[in-house]
Amino acid sequence: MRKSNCLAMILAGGKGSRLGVLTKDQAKPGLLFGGKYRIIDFTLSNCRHSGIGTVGILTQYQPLELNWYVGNGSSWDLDNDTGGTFVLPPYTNGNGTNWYRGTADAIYQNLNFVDMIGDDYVLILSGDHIYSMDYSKMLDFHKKHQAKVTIGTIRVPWDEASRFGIMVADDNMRITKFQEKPKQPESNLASMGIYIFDRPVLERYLRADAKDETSEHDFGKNVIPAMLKDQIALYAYPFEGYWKDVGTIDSLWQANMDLLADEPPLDLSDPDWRIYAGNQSMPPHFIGPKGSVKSALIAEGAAILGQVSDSVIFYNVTIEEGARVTNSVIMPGTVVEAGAVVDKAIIGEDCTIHSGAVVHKKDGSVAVLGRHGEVTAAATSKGDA
Amino acid sequence: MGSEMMGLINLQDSQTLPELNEHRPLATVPMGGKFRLIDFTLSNMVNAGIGNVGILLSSQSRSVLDHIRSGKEWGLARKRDGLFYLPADVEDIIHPVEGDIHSFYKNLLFVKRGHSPYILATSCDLVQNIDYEEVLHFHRRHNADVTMIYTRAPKDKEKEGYVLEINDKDRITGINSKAEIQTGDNLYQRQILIDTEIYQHCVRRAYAKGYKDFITDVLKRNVDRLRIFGYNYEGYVKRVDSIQSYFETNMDFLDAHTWRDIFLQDQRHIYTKIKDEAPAKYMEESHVTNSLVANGCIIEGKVENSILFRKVRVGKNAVIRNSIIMQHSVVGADANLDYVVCDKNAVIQPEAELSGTREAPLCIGKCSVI
Repeated sequence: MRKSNCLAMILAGGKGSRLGVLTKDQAKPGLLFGGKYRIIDFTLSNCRHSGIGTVGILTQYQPLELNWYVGNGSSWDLDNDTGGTFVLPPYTNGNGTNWYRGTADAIYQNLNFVDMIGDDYVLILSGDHIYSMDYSKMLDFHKKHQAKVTIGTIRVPWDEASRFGIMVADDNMRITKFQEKPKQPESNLASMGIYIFDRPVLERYLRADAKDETSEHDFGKNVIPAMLKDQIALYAYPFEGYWKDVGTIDSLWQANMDLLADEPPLDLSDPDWRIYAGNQSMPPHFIGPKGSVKSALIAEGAAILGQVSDSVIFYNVTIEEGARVTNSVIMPGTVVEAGAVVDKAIIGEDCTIHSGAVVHKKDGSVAVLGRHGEVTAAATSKGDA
Repeated sequence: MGSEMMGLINLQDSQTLPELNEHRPLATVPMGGKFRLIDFTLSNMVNAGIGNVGILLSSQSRSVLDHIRSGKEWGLARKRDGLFYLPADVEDIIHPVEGDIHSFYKNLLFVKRGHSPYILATSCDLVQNIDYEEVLHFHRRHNADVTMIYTRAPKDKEKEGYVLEINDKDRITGINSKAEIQTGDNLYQRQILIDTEIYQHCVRRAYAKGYKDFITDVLKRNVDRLRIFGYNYEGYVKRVDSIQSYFETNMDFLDAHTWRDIFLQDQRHIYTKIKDEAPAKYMEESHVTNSLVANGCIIEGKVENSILFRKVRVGKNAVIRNSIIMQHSVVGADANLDYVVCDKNAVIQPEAELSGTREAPLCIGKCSVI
């Protein structure tokens, strides 16, 4: 089988600390999304559809579940004889295990892996973004411009530009200036945290960065500015489409709700760009004789005996008769018992919302319940639900 | 890990459903919203730890190969053992030989190479979630040569079948072909567990004598000589052999208990080819009750007592009642369907009115436009 000559390295160690209980015992890329997916499914499916042959996944924070989920990559069709999927935990050498100090350090510590694969191009990706993107087009762009480094960018609204790493580029898309979270942005071209490097350039700069004790070992903060200073050929690849970094509870909730639109900004059912996921082998879901569902996404294996509207329901969820779920995301294995009410909430895996309980925040914010959580009617009356 | 049983699934002796079988054998008839009929038998086997399965193919095997492929979804794509397709010889397709002895004999090598002490030989037309390991325990406990699986017939059936006479020690003393099954009869369910040695010996002898059918010519004739026992399976089981039983079996899944018993057993899932469809999407105007809905569906209309397979589209104000709509079919806006079985990729035009009855559901052919 033909090799793509481009190795993908996915940074999947993100702690996602602003997601609270949802990422208490797993890394952010493993977070459940959209009824049947985990966030890393999007990046892995993009790799598969872009013809990437070898994928390295760098894990760090709470890696067990992610390692188990990714396995040999077969769910994403990424298990093959010429490449395959490699989970890369922090490396142990004679000097002990070094925790990754930053995004650049994570790749630096795996340079021997990058060498071993030997592809001419290295694609650095983040495992916690939701988007569909053809990386082969970005690689073509990289080759066409004879770039040493290409940075994936997206146009953001001007008033939000100060939250991002901003690229200033000339008419040819060559980057002339980089501004990290600027107060006065000179452009609205934001970095997506996606990079294609020529391997020799990557290696040279990572080795130099590793020796620099003042560096934070971060691509955006240190490596890219150093390259720019040396007038390396850096280009900005303009990506157009839906792209979301779900960093907070609110943005996670909103990204799920986005899927309920009549014409959702991200098409999960595009036959030419399917989002693959670890398979759960569930039967079609069951809507009971008194069930009612409106404006919702419902995965297989769920049993809806009560009412659901404007919600995303994962596999294996049971909504009992007389229960009511609105504006919510209910993760796998959770049971909402008869007469319980859930509104504007994200309920984690294997929770039980007991009969008579009400999950809803009076201040209008999103209520969150971590894995194995329970809410009883008594707790509700005390008002801490 | 080697299992002590190997599986042999016979696709050659099943009935056909002319209403649905135009392009496929019974084994790959779509069932229960996302499955094919053979998924149940194949999954039951692998759930009992069977890692070596032979499939006796019938003449129409394209859809079987396309569905099962390497057997990966069932964990059967292995370096050792795994899945074996056992095709029929060309001459046997041109001049079909009556009975199963002939193809059992032609495929003795598969059994011999399997090195398992027991063979589980089944048909492919049963919908159930059975624990075959329990059958193996029963077989050993009785020191049986052959174990035949049966159920007590719940109601009178006009259909023929084998009825077993069984003594109080589970031993089978008689096997009778009956034209009409009565309530309480011990109805043979077309699955046997047999010692491999005895199987090989019996098949060889029967072939040499020109016998045709394993049940009548081997087991029935030797009911006194062989130790044949009956295992009473008490769980849900339905055999699909007509459009009526096909329709009924699908509708049985609309009972939440049956749906759970068949599909949501803790360790024993039913596997099928993975399609990676998105979760089903319900629009603002949708109204769905008492139905089974697979991933990939987009629903804008009304659905009642029905089964929607993967990637079905139901248009605005369409009404679907008591129907089975197979994968990739589109039901146009304002269409009205009652007791309809709609095969794959069919397109029902807006405002179409289609109806059948429970006894004779209206069948819409694959890829037709109505």
